[in-house]
Amino acid sequence: MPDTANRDWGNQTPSEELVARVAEGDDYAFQILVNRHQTSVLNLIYRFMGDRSKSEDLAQETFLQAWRAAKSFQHKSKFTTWLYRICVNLCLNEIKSARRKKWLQFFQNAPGSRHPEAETQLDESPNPEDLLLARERSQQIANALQTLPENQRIALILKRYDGLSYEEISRVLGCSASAVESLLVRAKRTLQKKLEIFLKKSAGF
Amino acid sequence: MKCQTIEKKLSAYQDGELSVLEKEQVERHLAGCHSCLEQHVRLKQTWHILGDLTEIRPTPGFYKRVSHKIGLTPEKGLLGSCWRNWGWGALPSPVFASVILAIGMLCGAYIGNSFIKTQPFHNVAAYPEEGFLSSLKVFDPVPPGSLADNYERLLSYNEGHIR
Ligand SMILES: [Zn+2]
Repeated sequence: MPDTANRDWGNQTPSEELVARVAEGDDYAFQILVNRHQTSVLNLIYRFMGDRSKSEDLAQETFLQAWRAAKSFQHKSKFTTWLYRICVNLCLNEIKSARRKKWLQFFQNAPGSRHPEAETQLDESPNPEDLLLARERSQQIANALQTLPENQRIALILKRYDGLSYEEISRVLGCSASAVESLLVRAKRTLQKKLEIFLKKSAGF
Repeated sequence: MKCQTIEKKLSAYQDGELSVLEKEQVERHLAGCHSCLEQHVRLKQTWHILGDLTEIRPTPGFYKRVSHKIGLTPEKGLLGSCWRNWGWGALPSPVFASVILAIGMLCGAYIGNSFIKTQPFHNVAAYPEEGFLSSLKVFDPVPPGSLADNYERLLSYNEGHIR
């Protein structure tokens, strides 16, 4: 672990190098990694799951697993791809267990869970009307995303919000780059239909 | 290339994932096909609209919570550390809650009994046990000091048969 005088080194150090330190038990390197990637991991989960309350727990779990699995990180691969893969697997497991719970609820005739998008936090905006419109728009986008099948949704989120290449997405999902291409074609087609109201407003066709 | 093929290629074209040759083919087609150009514009706008999805921020202390889970930093707060240091962490919370509830009921009954004694119709002989023991009567079918007990005693008082 570096001494306190040289702690600035971490901020310029690539994540791939930091994770090697984490594997040796360097908690300072881990702290830099968490601070660097927490927002992107949190938002990946939030966009995929559509549930603010679960997102933070899952994001914490992602980093917890990253800490434990740091030794298994292969330094040829990109850190974010590796981290997102952990994250996506956790989300898929969560969805599976939620589905099981839903079935149980169905048989017990229990009321459904509250709508996930209700807790969306927005950046402060001076105009309440704008804020309301932005919130409504954001919610409609979130709803549209939730209609996509899981693999299409992940592919789209990783492309749109995290800027991953097809090759990188294929590594996260464990499929070929051409499969990613067709996932994205279908996802975009569906979203275009779902978000048509906004298209007409802004395009003037 | 046919319009159908171009439409499929538009997504990868916009994502910058086509080869130089494919890119040229798409661009040549778009220059001469209004329908595909329109689809190209719509798709681009959909992509742009997706940017309006709100970004959320982690709550303060995110790293601290992660490091607590891993065990890198000790849990803070006097109560939390005392609780674990005294080895009470293993005590199931329902047990603890029941003990607190029982103590509360006994204390309540003890205080209640001392109030009853000030009432004019109260017969001290009915409650010979003093202090803590008499508070155990809270578990009687008609506990002393309860509404039912007072009602019963009020009735017998009125009838001139003070217990
Ligand atoms: Zn065409």
